[in-house]
Amino acid sequence: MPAESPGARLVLRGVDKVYDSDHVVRDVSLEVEAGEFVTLLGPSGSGKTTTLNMIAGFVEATAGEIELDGRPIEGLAPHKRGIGMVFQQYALFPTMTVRQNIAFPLRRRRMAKAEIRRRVDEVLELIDLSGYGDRVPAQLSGGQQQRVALGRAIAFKPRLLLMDEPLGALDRNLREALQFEIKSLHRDVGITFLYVTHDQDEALALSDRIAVFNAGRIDQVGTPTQLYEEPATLFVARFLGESNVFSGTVERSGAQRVLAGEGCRLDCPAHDGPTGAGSLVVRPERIRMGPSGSGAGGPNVLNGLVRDSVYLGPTRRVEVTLPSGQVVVVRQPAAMPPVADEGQPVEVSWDRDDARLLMEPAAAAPAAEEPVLAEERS
Amino acid sequence: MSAARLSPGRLGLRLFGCLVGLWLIAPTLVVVPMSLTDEKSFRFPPTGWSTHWYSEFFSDPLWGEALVHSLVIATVVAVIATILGTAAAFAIVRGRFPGKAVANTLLISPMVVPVVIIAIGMYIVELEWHLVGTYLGFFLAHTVIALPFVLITVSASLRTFDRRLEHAAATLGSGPLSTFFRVTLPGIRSGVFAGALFAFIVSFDEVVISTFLVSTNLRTLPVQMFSSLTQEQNPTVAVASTLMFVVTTVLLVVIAIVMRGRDRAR
Repeated sequence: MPAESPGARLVLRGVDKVYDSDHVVRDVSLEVEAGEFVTLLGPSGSGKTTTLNMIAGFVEATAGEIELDGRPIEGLAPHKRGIGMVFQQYALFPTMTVRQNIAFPLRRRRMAKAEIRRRVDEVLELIDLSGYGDRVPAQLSGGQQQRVALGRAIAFKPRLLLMDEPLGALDRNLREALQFEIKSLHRDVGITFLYVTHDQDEALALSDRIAVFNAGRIDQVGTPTQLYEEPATLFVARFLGESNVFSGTVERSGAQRVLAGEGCRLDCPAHDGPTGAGSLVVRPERIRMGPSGSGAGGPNVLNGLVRDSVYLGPTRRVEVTLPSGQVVVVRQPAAMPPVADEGQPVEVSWDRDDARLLMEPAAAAPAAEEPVLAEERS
Repeated sequence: MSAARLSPGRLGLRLFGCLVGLWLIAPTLVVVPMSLTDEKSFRFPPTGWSTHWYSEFFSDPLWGEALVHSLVIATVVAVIATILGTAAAFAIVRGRFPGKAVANTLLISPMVVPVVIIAIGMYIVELEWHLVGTYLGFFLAHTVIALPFVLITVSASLRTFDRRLEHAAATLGSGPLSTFFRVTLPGIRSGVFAGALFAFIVSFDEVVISTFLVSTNLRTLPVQMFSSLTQEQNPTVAVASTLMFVVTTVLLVVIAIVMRGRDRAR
């Protein structure tokens, strides 16, 4: 590892946590590079916060290894790990001023008074709260308090910063503004960030890489693009953005594979590979839609009736009911004229390579059948 | 709250409330005019006014020493009970050990057990250890009955204290001891302070146990008041009562303000 990097390299190897009979974290392995911004993303109860608390030292791992810059840190008390942390409810010391809060970690490190004053000024400037040093937390807004918490956590220049849903208590507009600040702060200070959230938009906007947690395990680790374009499991496909899932049996048909589902035979993107129970995942914006009978027909063309059409600003979200009863979601640029009104027949189609084949039957996915709108989840 | 909206029923209720209040406090207040009488009797109401008994109180070494003894004992007891009671509250609220419920009950029991029983037990033990009539004997005995008050107020503060502040302090490099003094203690200070004042009051007006533990050269104010009543019957005892009344009232008002300030801060 390059010694001059201000960020630490973090490695988790086979980390487990069992509470009585409750297996909350299972065999989690993750490598975070120095200076990287990695997000642990998952629904509540998926083990992401417990994982963070094991790294911070508040929770002891039942099994596995945690290494910071190649040094194992299990058994080290939290205050000796030198890891910064930002909490959801800010956790500012209510009886101390902003300056005293930020100076707290510096005092504990017995820095000289003048040095502390200089560093606190620097941090106040960094978090854009220069005039607010002598206020107490109760006199600040939620967004300002979280900026102070952020400043306090990086004041002592930790090599790793943990953030546990830091924006969870803030309203949407403020959240987006602070996302931007966190991102630029990460660029400026260059330390390693490990971020926990259940908000996929936040994860996509901030992260170099995302680890998707599902029932205590990591389903997939990858860049936002990889996760969105090439989800490894149905859970990931459904948790990040909207997905249309067609399930059935993958069969060999001549030179290629097809998915035989309820009332349809769909082309699979890769010719070679296993057969058996599987699912095709198609993103709503990859689906074309036209009036019935307008296309040339073909393997990936399905007919249905428009059930619902909602204008969402930049896009229009259309739900099409297939004869099998399955609902296909289509997203079109709102600038395009609407193809059909509610109740009218349409046909939907997509390019073979825009679908992703997963050898996983849909029933095994724990997510709800009805796809959840990104806008609704917060 | 206009008078026009005051129905006869409401008026009656208010009157009744005032009467109950008067019933509770009037007997206590009687000592104030009594202490200012110019006669050497307990006649009420006094026929003339004088501060004679106040100068009597402060010039008579018997009273003066008793007051000093009581203040010293109450102060030391408040300190010991606050330290031990706060430590006990941490064990009860945070600790996980077998017999915790039993420990809690034992610590609270001095509030429930009849004081005279504690007094007799204390007397026998302290006789054996030659502590009767000593400061140390008073410190030990009064701390037993003062500690539950600290335990209860500090436990209440501790239960509502946000432990994430301690986690935050740890991630900022603060060890357990430094976190306790810089983060936790400031967070529960109102409970600790109220507990200390309660402990002071409990010791300051304790009379049953003290009656057993006094000697000729170490008596506390309440005990001196009792013996004064039975021996000489002069209004100096009313002066002592007034002083005790003022001290405890001031402390209770301070406790009320401290507790209210805490509620507002949350």
